[in-house]
Amino acid sequence: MSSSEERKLILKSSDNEEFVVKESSAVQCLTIKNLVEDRCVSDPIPLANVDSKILALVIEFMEKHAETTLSNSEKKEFDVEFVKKPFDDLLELILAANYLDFRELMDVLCNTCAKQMENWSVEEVREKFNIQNDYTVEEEKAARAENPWAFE
Amino acid sequence: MDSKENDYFSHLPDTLLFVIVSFLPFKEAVRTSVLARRWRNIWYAAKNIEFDEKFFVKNEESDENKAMQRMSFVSFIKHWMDNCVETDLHSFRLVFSHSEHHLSQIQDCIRFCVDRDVKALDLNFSDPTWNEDDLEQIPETFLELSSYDSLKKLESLKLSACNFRVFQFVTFSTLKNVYLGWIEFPGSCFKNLMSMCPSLETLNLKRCWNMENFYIDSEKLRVFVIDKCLGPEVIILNAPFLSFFQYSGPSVQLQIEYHPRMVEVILDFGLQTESNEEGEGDMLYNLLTEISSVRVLTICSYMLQYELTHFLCFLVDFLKLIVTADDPITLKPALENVKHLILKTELHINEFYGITFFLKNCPNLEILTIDLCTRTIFQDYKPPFTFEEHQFLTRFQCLRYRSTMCLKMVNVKGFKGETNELIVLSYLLRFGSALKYLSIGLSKEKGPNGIDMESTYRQNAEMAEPLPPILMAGPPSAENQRPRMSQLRLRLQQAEYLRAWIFAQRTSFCPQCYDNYEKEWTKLVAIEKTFLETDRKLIDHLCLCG
Repeated sequence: MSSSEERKLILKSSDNEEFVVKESSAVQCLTIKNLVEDRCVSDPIPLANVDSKILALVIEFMEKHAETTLSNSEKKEFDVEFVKKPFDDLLELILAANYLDFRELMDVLCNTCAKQMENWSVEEVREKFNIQNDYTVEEEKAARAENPWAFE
Repeated sequence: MDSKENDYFSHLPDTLLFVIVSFLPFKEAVRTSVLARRWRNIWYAAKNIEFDEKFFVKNEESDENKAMQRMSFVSFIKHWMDNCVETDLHSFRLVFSHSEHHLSQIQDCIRFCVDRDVKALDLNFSDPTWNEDDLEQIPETFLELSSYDSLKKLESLKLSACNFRVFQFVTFSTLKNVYLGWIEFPGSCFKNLMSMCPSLETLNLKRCWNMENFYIDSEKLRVFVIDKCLGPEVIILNAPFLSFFQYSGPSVQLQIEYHPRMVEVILDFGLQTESNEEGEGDMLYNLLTEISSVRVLTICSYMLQYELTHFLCFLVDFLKLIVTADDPITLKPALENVKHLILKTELHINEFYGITFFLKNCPNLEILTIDLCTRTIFQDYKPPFTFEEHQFLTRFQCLRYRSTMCLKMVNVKGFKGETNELIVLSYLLRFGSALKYLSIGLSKEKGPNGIDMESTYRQNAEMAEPLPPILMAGPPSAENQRPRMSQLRLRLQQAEYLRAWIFAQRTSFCPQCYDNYEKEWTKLVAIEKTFLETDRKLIDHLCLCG
């Protein structure tokens, strides 16, 4: 029984940790896919903007979504659990997914962020995400007055 | 400490904020403009655009004020168009009734979005005051959607009171979902639609008219809904991947092929107002055998009356089966996959045979919804077996079906507290040994002279609601997995209490009914004694198990 060798890639995080992944999973990241297609693959591939903690999480997501035996609803269930992380981590993951051009991960993460902002008042959102309100009173009034219908 | 450091979003560039905001519903996206200076214009990156007049035009205002409000609605739309820098949009939704004076701006806006390769287009020009149920009312179509080249990339199209001719000229290879409401939809349009949309998965037609008979033959269709449309008399369905089918409206002949992937079917002939003595008896028979995979089934009162009778005649005349009053016919194969049965019924004695037929033939039922409607009983209808009104009491209490024992949840909608409603509930409480959840929704019907009846209905509902906290209306939780002995005893007590209350009501009946009820009650008590032994064993068994 022969099986074609699964092509593997080595990814190196910004803090020099190396991770072995299947090429078929890794090409979900278009940045990596482009490198592979242009045959610019050095071994290992250095990812200067992603540390090991985040890279490990990205790889976990990547491999789950590359599995052809899982149904869409099973993948969705995994996603729901995956995003139950502190907000700091989610934001770092967004930056990593953006850098790696990993569309599916981006969508899941950004959707989660958006859901956390929905149905809260402006003050509550500011508090939740530590957003400093740098509007002056007049400026904020003017901003609200631009779209009064959205604040009723 | 510089609090800006703690701002979670400070690490993200604006481009990523654009992406996050593009996932927000439109109104929420607009609200982000007030969060902080940086966020002032982020919302213009929103890609799911929604212009809904309800945010601008308030119903309670005078006509002049509403006209002014419409003007500010339109100027907001123009302001958005002037400032939008996005080159592609995901979805565009416009809800705007009475927009006659703003036709050219609306067309500009539609063109603007279509030029940006919008994938989902939803245009709703219908008037919320139009009567859905009056099929004779034919409103005017407001707009006709022109044929744009870039519409070819559409994946989802929803049009209400908006005509279209596009389907004649362009193939929509990516269009998967189509919803058409309040328009004329003749057979030629339907043919065009099916041939120009090879990827169609969802087709939803609401309140359309001038329709002809349907013949659906599609490998791709997953969802098909015909809601209150006028015209078709025959619908032939051959869509092997169909998983959701709804028909609501006047009665029609439905012929369907085997649909092994059918999950939910709604058959609602609630708009049928005339009696229908003739009918093809095998329609219901074929229907039930061809959709045997169905898990959620909605059956209307008309089906429980006329269709059941046609069905029984078919069984007797053609299949030579014997049908008796006491035991509804067993369907082979039974609807074994039905987990949720919704009955739109008046719980009238004329529907009795129909109700028991479905209860018997859904042996694995977990959820029963009783959607109480009124004015559904046909005066001319003669049920297959004639029962007297008061016989509802004994006959119902004597049912012993597997479905009752499996039932986990019962929902009642439109509850008033009439005798038959209480009889059914007391039966379910008494014999629903797996029952965990009971929820009762009150009727909104007013009493004579328009008085509000809510408190009366509520008092009646409290009769039926079991002593807390045995059965809770709400989602299942780990603690509620098995009814314990004490709970069962309490529930039986409640069922008895309810029955006694029903019996006490007989003093309000006319003398003849009073006598009849007395007789039925005596009969019932006698029959109950024979079941007592079996029931006791069952309770013991259940208690042993947990």
